[in-house]
Parts: sequence; C-alpha cells; structure tokens
Amino acid sequence: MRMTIASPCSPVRLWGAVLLILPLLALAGCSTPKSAPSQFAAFSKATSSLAQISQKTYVIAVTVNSKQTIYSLSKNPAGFDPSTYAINTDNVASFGKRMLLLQALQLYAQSLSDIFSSDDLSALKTNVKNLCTTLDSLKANETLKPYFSDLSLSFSDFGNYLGIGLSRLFESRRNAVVMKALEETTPTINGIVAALQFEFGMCATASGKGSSGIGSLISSYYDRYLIDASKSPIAGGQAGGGSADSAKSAKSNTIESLIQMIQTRDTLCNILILTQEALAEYGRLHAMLSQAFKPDHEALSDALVDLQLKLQNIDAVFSAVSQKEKN
Amino acid sequence: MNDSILNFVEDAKKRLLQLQAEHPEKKEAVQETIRFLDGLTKSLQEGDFEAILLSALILAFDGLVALEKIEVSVKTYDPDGPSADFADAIAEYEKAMSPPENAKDLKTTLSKIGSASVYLMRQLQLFTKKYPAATACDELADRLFGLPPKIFTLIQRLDDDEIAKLTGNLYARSRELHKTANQLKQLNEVLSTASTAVNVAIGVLGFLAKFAPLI
Repeated sequence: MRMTIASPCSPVRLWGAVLLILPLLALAGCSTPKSAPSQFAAFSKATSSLAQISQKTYVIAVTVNSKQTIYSLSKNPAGFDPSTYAINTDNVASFGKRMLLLQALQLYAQSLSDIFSSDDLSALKTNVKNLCTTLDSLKANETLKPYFSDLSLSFSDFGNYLGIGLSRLFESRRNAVVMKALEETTPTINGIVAALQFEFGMCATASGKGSSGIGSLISSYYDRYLIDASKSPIAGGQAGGGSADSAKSAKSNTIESLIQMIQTRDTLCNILILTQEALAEYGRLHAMLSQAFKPDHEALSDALVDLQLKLQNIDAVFSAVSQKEKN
Repeated sequence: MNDSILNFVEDAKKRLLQLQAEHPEKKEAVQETIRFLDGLTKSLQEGDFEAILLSALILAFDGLVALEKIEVSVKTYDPDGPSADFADAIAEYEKAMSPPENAKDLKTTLSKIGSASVYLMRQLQLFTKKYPAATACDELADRLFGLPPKIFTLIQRLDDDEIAKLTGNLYARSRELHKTANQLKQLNEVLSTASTAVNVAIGVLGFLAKFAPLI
C-alpha cells in the first residue's frame, strides 16, 4: 500500500488518491455530528491520563527494583543478580524508551483531536502535517521501530492527498483523513497496548497462574520482605530474650508491619489489574472512534465516560498510595 | 517448629489408631491417612516444599478448629459479640481456608490464607488487650504466629515446575483423599473421643482433596 511514485502529479498517483479518498468520503459522509470534536478531545484527554498512569506504573517498577537491589545487597552482596529482574527498568535508556512511547501515544491522540478541531483548510493542513510528521518520525525512530514498523502507509505521502481535488468539501476531507489515520494506526495502537499489558503483567495473587512483568517484581519483592518481616522477632531472639510484655509488643509490631506490607502489595497489585483493564478498554475504544462520525454513537460516548472514570479511579488509588508513603 | 508438627503428626496417628481399634471397618481410611501423614513426615524431615505446605496447613487448620472455641470465648467476655473488624477477620480466615470452587491456584489460595491469618492475629491481640482474661484468643494468636513465615516462604519458593509436580501428585490422589477425608469426618462426628489432631488431619486432607481437581 505504500506509495512510491516519484512525481507528485503523475496520473497514477492522482488516481491512487481518488481511489483512496472516495470510499472514505462515502464512509465519513458530509454531515459530522456536532459532538464529534469533543469525542476526539475526550479521547486525547483519556490518552494523556493513561500515559501518566503508565508512567507511574513504570516508576513503581523502578522503585521496587531499587528497594530489591538494596534489600538483596543487604542480604547477600555476592549473590545479587540484577538480570533476574522481570523487566530491566534500571537502565536509563530502557526507561527513556518507554517514556518516549507514552509520549508518542499522547502526541498521536492530541494530533487527531487538533485535526478534528480545525475550522479552516489552512489549520487542517497544518494539523494533518503535524500528525504525519509525528507518525513518520515515530516510524523512523530506531528505538520505537518495533512498535511502528507495521504502519503500511507513508504518512508524508498521505498528508499530500489533502491538497488534491475536492477542495470544497472541507469537512469530508477532514473526516477522511481522520478515518484513514484511525484505520492505519489501529494495529500499531493495539501493538502498543499489548506491549504495555505484557510489561505490566499481573501479581501472582491476582493472575491465578503465576506472576508476570512488573507484577512479578512486586510479588517477588513483597513476598521476600514478608518472609523476613514475619520471622523477625523470633529470629532476632527478641521474643525469647525479654519480658513477656516486650515479646508481646515485638509480635504486635511485627503484625502491624506485616499488615502495612500486605496492604501496600495488594494495592499495587490492584493497580495493575485496573490498569490492565483500562488498557484493554483503551484499545477497544480506539477501534470504536470511527463511530464519532455517525449520528448514533451512544456506545462511544459511554465507553469514553467509562474509561475516564476507570482512569480517575486508578489515579485516586495512586494518590492514596503516595499519601500513605509520605505518612 | 518442625518438632511441633512432627508431634502433631504422631498424635494424629495415635488417635487414628485408637479410632481404628474402635471401628475396624474403617481400617482402610485410617491406614490411607496414616500413609499420607507418613509420606509428608518424610518430606518434612527432608525439608522440601511439600513439608512446608503440610506444616502450614496443619497450623492453619489448627487455627480454624480453634476458632469455634474463640467465638464462645469472645461472647463470654463481650456479650455484644466481636467487633465488625473481628467478625470480618474471622469470616475472611474461614473463607480462605475453604477455597471456593473457582479457586484459581495454589499461590492465590495460600496468599489469602497468609493475609487472613495476619489480620486475624491483629484482631485476636486487640481483643486480648481489651479483655486480658480471654486467654484462648491470646493462645491462638501465639499459635498462628508461625503461619505467615511458612506461607510467604511457600509462595516465594513455589515455582511453576514445583506447582506442576505438587498438583500432579495431588490430582492423582485427590479422589482417594476426598473419600478418606469424608470417611474420617463421619467417623469423628460420632465418636466421643474426637480429637483436635484428627479434626486437623481431616481438614488438611479435605483442603488438598478439594483443591487438587480444580487445577
């Protein structure tokens, strides 16, 4: 599908453009529901929220990795092996790559929203150009290549179609560009969602079939900590060495410490479950976005509201965890 | 800790032989249970994960059996009954010890038992602090204190291969275990000499039997 014709005015290319745009015009129609721009703006907002939550999840991985490192070094300096990490987020480049990917996702959604809010041809051209530049640069970025290599169309070429024919049908052309962009990027967005889901994984206690990804890090760290914490007063001889009251007090402290650890672990594992659900919902929602062009799109509106609520809920849980950490 | 589990196993075996003497028709079920306990005693002496599982389950079922006494004790000292948190902790513990039919896996179930035991210990301690004469609560909290390290060690140590091996063994034996547990349960219910050790052994067998076919 990638266009490789050298001359921008060649008849083959013009026919190609007509063939590309006509079916899209038929799909998009000429009358766009008034709510469509706000749908795309809501999608952009949801993408930003999802990216921020994903970023926080990666920060958890880095934090747990650091704690794991300190803990492992304190227990067995010689035997510590960082390669056992389920996901190596200690590496700055590796962490940066993930942040870049999340940023790319936000840029893409923002570009779609900008295109949809364009109110004249000039703004539309600028916004489409921005989208194309964004997607082409992502495609060319060596670090992100695995995620964007499936894009079959060259977006620079795609952007050129805006200037060809049917110049009076501004709304139809805008819709056609967005429809085509959605169609082209769906496999890529699904790939990014799948990659994030894979890396986040699940805790052992939540997945039912072993832990994976960041969930594995959380399970491993907290379970090891819990083993030591639950043994501490007896292992340290505090229970046997002091008075009955001090032994009771030591046990009581141990139980409180265990409860705090269990609660933090369960909250982090719950965040992973909720984030996995939100990611799946996000992928479904992206595939539904073309419904914004149809007059009857309650399902899309409902899905956008649901996703936003889910993301707000996750953010609230994150805030509660960080508040607890501060206390 | 291992010694106390070995003592428990010895006590359970002694009681089981008494049951067998009183009810020779149940010899098969009693012998099956003794073989099971012997196999796990051997594992315990070798220190492998099946032994940790056995000792954790014995502790956990001992706690479950003791809970009946605790409920009586709580009502004795506090006519209003346990606080909502205490009642929740008891309910969660009982729930964790009875894996539902949709129990996902061994690690999940063990993790729930581990967490539930910690919450129960806290409530038992709080109750004892309020009513120092409620020694049954204090004793149970003390006994349960050995449970979390075993549970968390199991969760940490059980890798996929070990789970496959363990569940494979249990699955193969699940029917027999289930039958044995039921026979012993019925027997124990009609005997005046019902013992805690036998009750706990029934609990352990029942737990494993109920759990294994789900995997």
